[in-house]
Amino acid sequence: MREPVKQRIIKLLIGASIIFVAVLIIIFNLRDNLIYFYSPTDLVEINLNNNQEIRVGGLVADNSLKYEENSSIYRFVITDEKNIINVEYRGILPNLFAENKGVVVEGIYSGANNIIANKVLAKHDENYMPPEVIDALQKEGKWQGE
Amino acid sequence: MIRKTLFYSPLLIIILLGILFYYSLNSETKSNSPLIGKQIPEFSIERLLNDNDQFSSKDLISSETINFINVWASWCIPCRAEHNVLELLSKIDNVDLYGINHKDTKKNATNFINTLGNPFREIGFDSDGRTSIEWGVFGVPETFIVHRGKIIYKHIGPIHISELEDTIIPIIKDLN
Amino acid sequence: MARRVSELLSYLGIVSLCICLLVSLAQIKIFYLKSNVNYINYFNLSLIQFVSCLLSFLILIYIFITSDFNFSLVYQNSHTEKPMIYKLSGSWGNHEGSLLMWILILTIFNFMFALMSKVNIRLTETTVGVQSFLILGFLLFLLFTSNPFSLLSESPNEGLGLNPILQDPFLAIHPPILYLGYVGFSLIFSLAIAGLLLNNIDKNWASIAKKWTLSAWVLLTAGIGLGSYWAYNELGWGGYWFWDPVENASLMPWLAGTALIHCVSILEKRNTLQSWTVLLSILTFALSLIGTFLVRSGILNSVHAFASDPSRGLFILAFLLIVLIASLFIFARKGPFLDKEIKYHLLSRETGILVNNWLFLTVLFIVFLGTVYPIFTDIVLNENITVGPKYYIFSITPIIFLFIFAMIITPFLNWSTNNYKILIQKIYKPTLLSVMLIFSISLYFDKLSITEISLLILSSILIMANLNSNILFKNNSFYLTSNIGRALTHAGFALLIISIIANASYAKEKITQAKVDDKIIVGNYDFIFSSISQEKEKNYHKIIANFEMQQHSGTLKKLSPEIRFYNNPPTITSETSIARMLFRDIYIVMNVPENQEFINVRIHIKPFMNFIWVSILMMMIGGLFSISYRIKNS
Repeated sequence: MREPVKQRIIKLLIGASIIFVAVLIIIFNLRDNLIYFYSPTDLVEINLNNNQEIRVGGLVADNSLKYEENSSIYRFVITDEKNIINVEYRGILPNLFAENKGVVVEGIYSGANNIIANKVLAKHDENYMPPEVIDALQKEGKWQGE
Repeated sequence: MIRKTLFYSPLLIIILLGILFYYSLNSETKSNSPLIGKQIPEFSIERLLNDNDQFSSKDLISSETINFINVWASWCIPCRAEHNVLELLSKIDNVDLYGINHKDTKKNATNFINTLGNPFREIGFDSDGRTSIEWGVFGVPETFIVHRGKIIYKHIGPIHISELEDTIIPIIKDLN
Repeated sequence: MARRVSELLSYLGIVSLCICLLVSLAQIKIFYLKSNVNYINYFNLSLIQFVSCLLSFLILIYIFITSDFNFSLVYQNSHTEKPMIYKLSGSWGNHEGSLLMWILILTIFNFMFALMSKVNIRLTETTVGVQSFLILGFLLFLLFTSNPFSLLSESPNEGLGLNPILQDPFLAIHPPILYLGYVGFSLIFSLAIAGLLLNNIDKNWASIAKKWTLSAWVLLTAGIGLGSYWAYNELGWGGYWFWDPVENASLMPWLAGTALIHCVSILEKRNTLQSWTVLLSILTFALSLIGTFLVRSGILNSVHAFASDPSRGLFILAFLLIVLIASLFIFARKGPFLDKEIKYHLLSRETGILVNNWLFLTVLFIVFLGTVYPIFTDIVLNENITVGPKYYIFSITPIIFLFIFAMIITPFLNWSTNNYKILIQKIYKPTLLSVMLIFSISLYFDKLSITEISLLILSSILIMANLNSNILFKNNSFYLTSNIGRALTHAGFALLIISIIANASYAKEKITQAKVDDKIIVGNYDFIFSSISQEKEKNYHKIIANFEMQQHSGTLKKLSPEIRFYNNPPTITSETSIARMLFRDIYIVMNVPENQEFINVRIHIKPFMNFIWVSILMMMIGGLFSISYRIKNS
């Protein structure tokens, strides 16, 4: 019943190499499509390439929401109470979006502390913040503690 | 031989995953605040039920008892759920419970206290939320344990009765 | 007086759960004692398990519909002003209730299995024993960490649960169906472990397992489909699948379960791949458990936020690990001796199905990696990341090619021997027809890429080949072959791929602001913003924007998206308005910025949406056909 050893080894090698290549492709693909989360302070501290897709979370700063009527672009500022980042967003803000409330935006970092958002998530209810925002504010807290 | 060993690999994978999940579960639970072990922030705000005087950080620093500072609001549903636990907490010996009323109106907050009862020794009225920010509050409710002006512990979210027994009371015992 | 009744009900609920617990213990004992107990014995016990669970679940429902605020669960999750349907669904919309429902479904499957599998008593009995072990574990979880019948010391007049986000007909029916799917796979798991323990994994085992696997699969498909339908209607983003971790958590058991169905077929027909089938059975249920664990423990960051409690997460994790480590240990000990090797030609149906299995596992690996990797980086590297949807799309698309290719040829291959001539005979016509059809279509629509065109061609071949050879026309009437179930499911899958491509390539979207009487042009349609009105409902007031959708100056449809303002608790929700037409959906969401005279609207034209839902339905109906065929012939 058993195949010759040589044949089995060849089969095994072919199988293993296919799996290896597939896993490699998948992992590289994963690395290319990771979206990192930063707090506004992180963005000041690290040098980020422009045009990178990122997520930023924090509080929407008081009195920062502006609407440009002719281009229908919203601008607002996300703060972690230490540093800020300017957000530009063309689209519909979620209902729970409000100044002084937690928010997470996803979009393209366009340098000079600007992000062009393609998604604005305000997915918490009145009482709780998205976990990322808590994280961002906590990180900021640590920074202040030193 | 190799074949038999191969059959153990799913077991190995699941154990590794189990370890990963265990750690991620734990990293969620620790509510570490950068303020823990630090002196409480300085503040001075008006009192909710009494207009004469200000409620300030000095009240807490001078106190010899174990102080609990609970940040709450009348519009916050978990706070309502937490209220009966706070009643229990306030009855423990050598414990004083203070409240910071967060982004609320005086009318609603007073109403809340009048209907549900007042377990607080003092309530600070923090209508714009400035003081809460200095305490590093992310959302309501949150509760801090303060002893001799130092923050010992911070609890995010409503305190459940089981958490009162399992976590909070041991801390009180330690401090005593 | 009312207080007494509540105390009595609470007592009754807990007692019936305890009865279920004791009986489950007895069931496990049966399976350890290895005695020759007769059929009646374990069947009766499984009936008691089911009835006692049902009783406590009915009590839960009763206290919710009567708004008995003596119960802390009702107090926290219900409100007298809630409409009746949400009082009802509120009973399983929370952690404790959903856990009780999960247990109820476990006992239902246990009972059904005991009722329907009377052939191999030893196997049935052992399966019921393993299943009872699962029931026992969940019961302990329920009773020790999340008692649904705990009473408050004093009774409040009003409950807290009026959250409008949770008042949604979808949330009323989605969890039960998803659970039915998950728990259905628990039975396959129990069956596999029982088979392992008895060294009894063979053709007969497979023919029992196939029915139950198909049933669980249909239910899980329904659950996922409903979830997607809800996201499309309610989230207001115009999408139907977001590769969100919570969605992935339900997709993973589906992938493993679908692989399992195919693998069980080989076992049934050819009596080979025993250990692989068992491993897939364990894996499918493991993924159901892991999915529940990830979602409920709050480890995942998701748009679907759940209240989480770490101590509960720990319990689920511990239980999950006990179940999985024990079962995989049994597998490692017994698995190597199960397999019977057979010979088959490289171009045979066995190879086709094996290739399919590998492809399923690859997709599973992709989804799993994308879901778990962020958890890994969070702990090990302390980096907070999310995985973009592009990762899934780029990784999975090439595999879809191979998938459809394998799906086209495999059903026309013989078991064990090579017969490529028949294969060519069967598929050359559909191939020619599809190539011509899709090329002429793609000349007309210029946007399609090569990838899309080739996928369309393959899908179209798949549909035609399946329908052509399974719906026969003889003597002026139609006949369905016995394989019609499979044909429908495969054709449904192909239709799904076609619809997804069409939907993605020809969707149009416009975001703009509008004042009353403005006209917005999207594609071939004009949208006239005719009026805005305000209405007061029982517990919210709403702003309604009325749009008229016109084509060639004739009004086709009226659309009226809403914004709802709830007062208690203060919450704002957007209600989309969707006009469903045969070939496209028109989808409008709006929002009202503060202190502005205009509203913001987003209009989507989404082609082929109906076909997406229909294709999912087709897959389910195919599954049902297969089940009914099996029941008829057994």
